[in-house]
This record gives sequence, C-alpha cells and structure tokens, in this order.
Amino acid sequence: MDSWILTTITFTPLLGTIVLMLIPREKVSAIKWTALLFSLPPLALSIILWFAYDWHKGGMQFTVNAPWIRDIGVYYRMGVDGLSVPMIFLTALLTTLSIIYSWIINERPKEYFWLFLLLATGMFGVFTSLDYFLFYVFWEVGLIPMYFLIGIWGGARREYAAIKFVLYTLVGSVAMLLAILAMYFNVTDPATGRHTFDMMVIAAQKPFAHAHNIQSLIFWALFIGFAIKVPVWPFHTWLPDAHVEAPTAGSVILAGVLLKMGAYGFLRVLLPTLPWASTHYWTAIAILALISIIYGALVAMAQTDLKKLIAYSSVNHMGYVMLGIAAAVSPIAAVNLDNRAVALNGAMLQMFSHGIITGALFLLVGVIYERAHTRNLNEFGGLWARLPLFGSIFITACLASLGLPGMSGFIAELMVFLGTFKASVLFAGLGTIGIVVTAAYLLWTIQRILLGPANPKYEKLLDMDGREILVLTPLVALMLLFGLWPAPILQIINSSSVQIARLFTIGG
Amino acid sequence: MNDFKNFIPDYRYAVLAPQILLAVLALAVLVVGLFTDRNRKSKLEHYLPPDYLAVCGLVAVLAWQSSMLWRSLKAGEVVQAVKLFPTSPGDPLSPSLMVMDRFAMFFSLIAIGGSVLVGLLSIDYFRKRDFNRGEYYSLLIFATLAITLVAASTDLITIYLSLEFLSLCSYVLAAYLKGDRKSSEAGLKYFLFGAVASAVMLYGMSMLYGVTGSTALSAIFEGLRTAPGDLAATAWLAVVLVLAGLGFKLALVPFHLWAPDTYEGAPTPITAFLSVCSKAAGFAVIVRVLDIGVPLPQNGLGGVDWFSVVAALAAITMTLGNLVAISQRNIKRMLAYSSIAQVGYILIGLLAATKSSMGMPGLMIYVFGYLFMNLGAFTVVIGLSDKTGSDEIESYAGLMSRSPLYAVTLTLFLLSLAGIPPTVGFLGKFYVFGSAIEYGQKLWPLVALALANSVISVYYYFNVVRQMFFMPAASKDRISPSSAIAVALLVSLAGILVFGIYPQPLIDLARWCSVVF
Repeated sequence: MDSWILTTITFTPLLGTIVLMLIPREKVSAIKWTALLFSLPPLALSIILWFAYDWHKGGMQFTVNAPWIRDIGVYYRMGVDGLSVPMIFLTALLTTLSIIYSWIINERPKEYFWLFLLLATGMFGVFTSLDYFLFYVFWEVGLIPMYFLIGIWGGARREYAAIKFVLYTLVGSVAMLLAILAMYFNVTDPATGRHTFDMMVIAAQKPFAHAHNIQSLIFWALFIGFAIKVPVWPFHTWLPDAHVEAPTAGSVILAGVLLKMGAYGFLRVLLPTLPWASTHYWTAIAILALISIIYGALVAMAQTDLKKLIAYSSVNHMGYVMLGIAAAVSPIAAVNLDNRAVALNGAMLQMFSHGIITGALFLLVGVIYERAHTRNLNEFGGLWARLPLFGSIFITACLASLGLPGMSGFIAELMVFLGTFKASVLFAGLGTIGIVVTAAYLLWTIQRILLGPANPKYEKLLDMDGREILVLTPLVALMLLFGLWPAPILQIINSSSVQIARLFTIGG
Repeated sequence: MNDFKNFIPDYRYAVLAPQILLAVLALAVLVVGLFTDRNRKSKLEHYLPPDYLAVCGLVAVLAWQSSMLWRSLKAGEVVQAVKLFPTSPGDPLSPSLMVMDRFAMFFSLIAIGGSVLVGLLSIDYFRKRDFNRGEYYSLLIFATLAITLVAASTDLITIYLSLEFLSLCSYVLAAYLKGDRKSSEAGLKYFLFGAVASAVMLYGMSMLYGVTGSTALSAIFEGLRTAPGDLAATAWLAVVLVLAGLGFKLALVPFHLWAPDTYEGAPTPITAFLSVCSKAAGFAVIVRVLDIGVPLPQNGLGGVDWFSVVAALAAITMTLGNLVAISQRNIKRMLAYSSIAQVGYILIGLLAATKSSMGMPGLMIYVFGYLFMNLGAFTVVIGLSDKTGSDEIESYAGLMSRSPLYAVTLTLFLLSLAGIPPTVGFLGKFYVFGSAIEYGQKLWPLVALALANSVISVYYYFNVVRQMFFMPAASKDRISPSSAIAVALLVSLAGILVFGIYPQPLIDLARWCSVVF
C-alpha cells in the first residue's frame, strides 16, 4: 500500500474522466453515478491515509520516486506529511460532497462532471507531489477546469470572472515558474551531482543562502505566486468575482481547496526553502495579513449579496493563516519553538477549518438561492421559522466561522493569536479587530436572513431535502468534532509544524 | 569528366536520398497532375490521384528521413556530418557548401513532417476548388526540398540560393487561388517584401564577403575574429542586414508586416505551411549563421555582438505580436500574430545556447512541438471553414455543441500554444526559458518579459475557447471532420500530448541533433 496509495488517490479521478468520455451525453444519471463512483476511492483512501500516517515519526511518508524526464532530472516524486494529509482529506471530502450537491446540474452534465474529476486530480497532485516540475504541472491542471466551471455554469458576469480568475492565477504561476527554474539551477543534489527538482533536496540545500538580493527576488516571485492564490490583499480582487459567479460546487472547491493551495505553497515551499527571506520580510507578510483580515471583514460587512459576503469573509479568514505564518517566522528571539509551532498549527488548522466551514456556507448559499432565486440579504427575514433545519445549520456554520468556542474555527484562531502575541502584541491586537468585525457581520447576517419579520414572498419555501442534508452533515460534524476534540488533527499537523518551526528557532 | 570527379570527392548519395526522393516525387506529381487535372474522371485519377500520390510519397520520404536519424541515434554514429561540395577537394578540413549533419536532418524531419500534414489538409481544400492539384503539390514538395537544403547550407551562396528557392515556391503558393483577390494580395505582398528582404540580405552577404574574403561560414567566423578594428562597424552592419533578411522569413518584428495579410489571404493550408515549415527553415539558417558564422566578441578577440540585436528583436517581436493578436477577429490573423510572438520566445533559446546546454535542444524541442500545435490549430480552422465558410472567431460560437471533437482538440492546441502543461508547448517553453535562466542574470529580464507575454497570450487564445464553450451556437447542425482532416487532427493531438507527457525520446533526439557544424 505504501507506494501506490498516493498515485491511486491522484489518478482515480483522471481514470474517471476517461470512463466519462465513453458514456453518451444523454445518459445523465449514468454520468452522475460514474463521477460519484470515481470520487469515492480517493475519499476512502484519504481517510486510511489519515490513520496510517505515523505522526510520531513525522516526515515524508508513502513516498514514490520514479524517473520521468531523465534529461533534466525530473522525477515522479510523491509523498505526504502532516501538512498534506489533512489537505488531501479535505480535497477528497469536498470533491465528493460537491459532486453529490451537483446532482441538480442538468445543463451539460457530462462536461461538468468531467471537469470536476479533472480538477480533483489537479488538486490531489498539488498536495502530493514532491517534485517542482510535477507540482507545477498539477498546479496548472487544477487551474483550467475552474475556468470552464465558472465560465459555463456561472452567473451573469461569468465570462469576465472566469478569464479574470485565469489571468490572475497565471500571473502567479509564471512568477512561480521563474523562481522554480532559478532554484533548480542554483542547487545540486549531493547524491547525483546534478541539478534537481526535488522539493526536499532543494529545501535542504537552501538555494541562494548567501546571495540575499537574489533570494529576495525569488522570495517575492514565489510570494506573488502563492499570495494571489490565498489570496492576500492586494492580490485578492479576482476572488469576489470568481466566487460570486461560480456555480455553488465551484465556489465550494474554490474556497475550500484552491485557496489552500496558496497557503500550502507558503508552508511547503517558501518557509522551508527560503528561511532567510521569509524572516527578513516577516513584517511585510504580517502587515499584508492584517490588512487582509481587517479589510476583508469590513468589506464583508458592507455586502448585501450573501455569496459576496462569504467570499470576502474568506479574505478575512485566510488572513489569519497568513498571520500565523508570519508569526512563526518572526526574528524576535523571545518567540520560542513552541510559540512558532503553535502559530503554524493555528495556520494549518485554520486552513482545514476554513475549508469545511466556508464550504458549508457556500453550500447553504446554494440551498437558499435555489429556492428564493436571490442572494440579497435585505430581501430575506424570518426564515428560521419557515426553514428550521436550514436555519439551524446556517447558524452553526456562521458561529463556527466567527470563531465560537467549541467549534474548529475557534481553536485555529486562538492558536494563531497565541503565537502572534509572542511575536508582536501590536499585530495580535490589530488582528482581534478582525474577530470583532467578523462577529458583527455574521451575527447581522443571521439576523437579516433568519430572524425578524418574515417576508411573505418566501412563505412557500421548502426546507432542505435529503441530498442537501447528506452533503452538510459531515461538514457540520467535523466543525464540532475538531472544535471539541482537536487532538486527531493537531497531532498530525504538529509533526510538520515543529519541523518548520525548528528552522526559525535559534538553537532549535 | 575529371572535373566532375574532383567536384564530388566524398560524395555520399545515401545522405542526400531524402532530397533526391523529394525532387523525383515533385516531378512525378507534376506529370500525373497534367493528366488528372484536365480530366477528373480519368482512369489515372481513379488509381493515382496526384494529392494522394504526393501525401503518400511525402510519408515515404518522412519514413526514410526518420530511419536515417533513428539509425544514427541508435548507433551513436561517430561520423557526425557529411560535407557536400567542399571548396578545396582533398583537404578534409576545407569548408564546404553544405553539411548534412544531424541538425540539418532534424529540421528536414520537421519540414517533411509538416508537409505531410499540410498535404493532408490540402486534399479536400483543393478538391472542392477547381485548381490544378499537380502544380500545387509539386510546388509544395519543392518548397519542402528547399527547406531541407536551407537547413544543410553552410555557405552564403547556398544559403541565399536555397532561401530564394523556398521563397519563389512560397510566393506562388500564397497566390495560388487565382481570381481570389485576397490570395493575390497575399502573394504580391509576400513577393514585394520578400524581394526587398533578399536584396538587403544579399547586400549584407556581400559586405561580409568584403570583410572576411570568404563566403563559407566557418571561414567568415575566423575572418571576423581577426578582422581589423576599423572594419568592426561594417561587419556589424553586414550581420544586421543578413539578420534583416532572415527576420523576414521568421516574420520578426519589424520585418513582419507581410505576415498578417499573407497569412489571411493565402490558401489556409499554405498559411499553415508558412507558419510552421517556412519558419523552421528560418530557424535552421539563423542558428547556422549566428552559431557557426558570427563569433561574439570575447577574450579580446574580434567578432560581432549579435546577442543584443537578437535579444532586442526577440523582445519586441513577442510583445508586439501578442499585443496586436488581442484585437484580431479573424482566426487566421490571430494565429499569424500568435506565431510572430512564438518566434520571439524561441529566439531566447538561440541566445541562451551560447552558454547553456539546454538552449539549442530547447529551441529544437520548441520548433518540433510548434509543428504539432500550430498545424493542429490550422487543421481545425480548415476543417471548420470548409463547413461554415467563415474564419471569423465569432463563427466558433457554441462549437462544443456542434462538434465536441473540434472544440476539445482546438482547446488543447491553444493550451499548448499558451504553454500550459502537460502539453509539448509547455515542455518547449520550459526548456527555452530554463536555458535562459541557466545562462545567467543577463537574460532574466527577457525571460520575465516572455512569461508576462505568455500570460497575455492566454487572453486571446482563451477568447476562442470562450466562444466555443460559453457562447450559444448559431445553428444546431453537427459538424464532423472529413477523414483526411481527422487523420491530421489525431496526429497533431498525439504529438502535443505524447511528447508533452513522455518527452524523453524527443529530448534525446533534440540533444543528439543539437550539434551544429
């Protein structure tokens, strides 16, 4: 099982795309079942992976290493550690749930599910590959299907949103490519004496360790590549458009997984490979994170479109991830190994937790939009009485999102702030403004949708059906599970956090 | 008879077999065409139609040429090049008019392979229109022959002659649709620009001869190394003038003005030919001239600094090509400007090759991959305009519902042109840009510009994708390709995907062939 599990997870959906091509486009039901069928093995295997990963030992496990392009030393290298295992599970879960939710898609279903499976392969590949060439290939493979998902099944301004998404992300990709090539030529694998694309070897060799000017250049190139994906203010402007126009399941994947790829890049590539530049520019990262937190929250408060509100709340929430990362690399000596590891644990837990919470929120937006055909917050009111089940789940997700104790979001944000507090009281203090504003806009949203006088227009709405309940239950369960008992996830991610944290601790 | 013997002392006919076969094939097609084009119901037409004869003949030559390369690759041959027509026979070190080396064979392979696909695309195109196919195909084969000669030329005389041979065939082919005003315009514009360009190039060549006293590239190299300092400006001007002539063939900005009109007006298969095969010839000769003929000044020795000239040409070529492509509404014009931009990227490989071992293979991989992606895109254009009668990008609206095959394959070709993995277009860009990074920080800004340009290019490539997938179709009629088009389509598709996912054989071949004599 050791060597094939990651390959199977990554390529089962691709196999599904081939099978889908053989099904005539009229057989809608067969298409949907096939898509679901090919999304299940990765989900099952990702759960097995979670339990099979030996977090006492830590490090890369389940590794695969096979030559691919000998000429430039490209290998088919895969492996997972505590950072990627939860991301793979998140990807598998959200992909399966999105496919179930998308049962209502009857417009060009064959293409829709085909793209969804291709997207899944791209996302799994990003989180499993340990070779920069392979990583880049999957990074791009994950980009193209989303363009079509937004462009074909999106809302009114879908074409604009789709091309904007692609162009922004591509700017990041090519900057990343430039940096990858520069690192490649700067590093020699001691085992072979040749240049290498091995992420681990490059991280161990520390390219441009003494050429600080070039290291800074490479750092910013990679920073742009990942920050656009996260997205960090001021690179976030593609996000509201893409989220608002994307079909529900597209938004779920976009917020749940694609944004995480940016944060994953910071943790997998930037911090371990360029530690000097990461520490040197930690204030810049922290300030951008804080702007994202506060700006994201304030702009979210001003929205009347529910979907746009949640989109901006993503900017806000991903800001905490970035704040945790910044705190973990700060040069301040008082920050010890534990503080740094806590900040990173917070960041990684926030990545996971934001994935399930925002995924759930976008699904709930889809649920209400299917019924009311509007997302305008001011047109709702008193829906809880009408839709008790929807109301309860919506409130649960909102409370998790604003960081109510007992939910996964609270633990993540708490840990981020614990770490940040040691690095800079000022930054931690500023960050809490975001928490307050987030609480305000989410509670206000609950009030506007669920409470108050009922709008008679929506008297006839039906509550959630079985499919919708099926999709939302696992997400809500996970919010509560990791909120009350975070040990199962923390012990896994902690094994990676400590490794990264050690790089930044003097004498660590 | 003695003279004749002296003229070809170590003549190895076998190495020229593809060239000889091409010449014979062209004449055979011409003769067959004489009988069949007059009377389309003749027996000969039934058993030996000139278009099939041409395509099958080209496939045979392609097989021959590939087996030559394959055998040399497998055997790891020690003999790396065959000198043809040496200037002083008997002296093994003397320069020669032509060298049949692996580099030349590689570009011959691209030219012949491209012609096979162009030949396939032309079958329906010319059967529908009542034009003489015999002349058309024999001109196409002669043009292919010219490219194989261009690729092997190592002397200014042979370079000029073979380039003129190629140009004259191309002028006629571009204007082949007699009576079609746009086609006539295409041919005339091409001819006028081409005549000026070759005159300029000839002027530059005569100056090079004046400075160095030789027309052989290797002798010119030595001559420029040792040329007295007061001739430096003349030598520089000579090289720039030669570059201008070659720039015309490659459609480099600012020598590109003919390209969009010619590409739009010429018969579409010929547009495809010009944008791929003719450019391959341009690359072969620019590599040969600059790599073998013109030294860069270094270590106190003389030379001509063509590096900055080519870098500047590459920068403006890719930028202008991409920016103008954005506003095009006709897909042939869009592809014309896109191919201008692509040449800008490829030139980076030439620059980097002066220091990086990835540069020359990168250039060759890119040109090889470009053959499949650009011809693939043109295959769809030809197949569609055959059915819809339009080359406007708007006529691609809703193509996905009318022909999933065309829509999906064109999308893949465009993704490859844009350099998105896992296609061969990405591999080419990766090698070319990688070699420039390896070259050193002097080329980093150019790579950054090229990468920025690739992002811009995605905008206009995706504009076609947007029409095909997002827009509603104007009609519900299904469109399906003819068998010849389908074959060309699948070959191109296999080319971009197989070499994109499993590139090692292509890389081995390119590395093996990247030694230039």
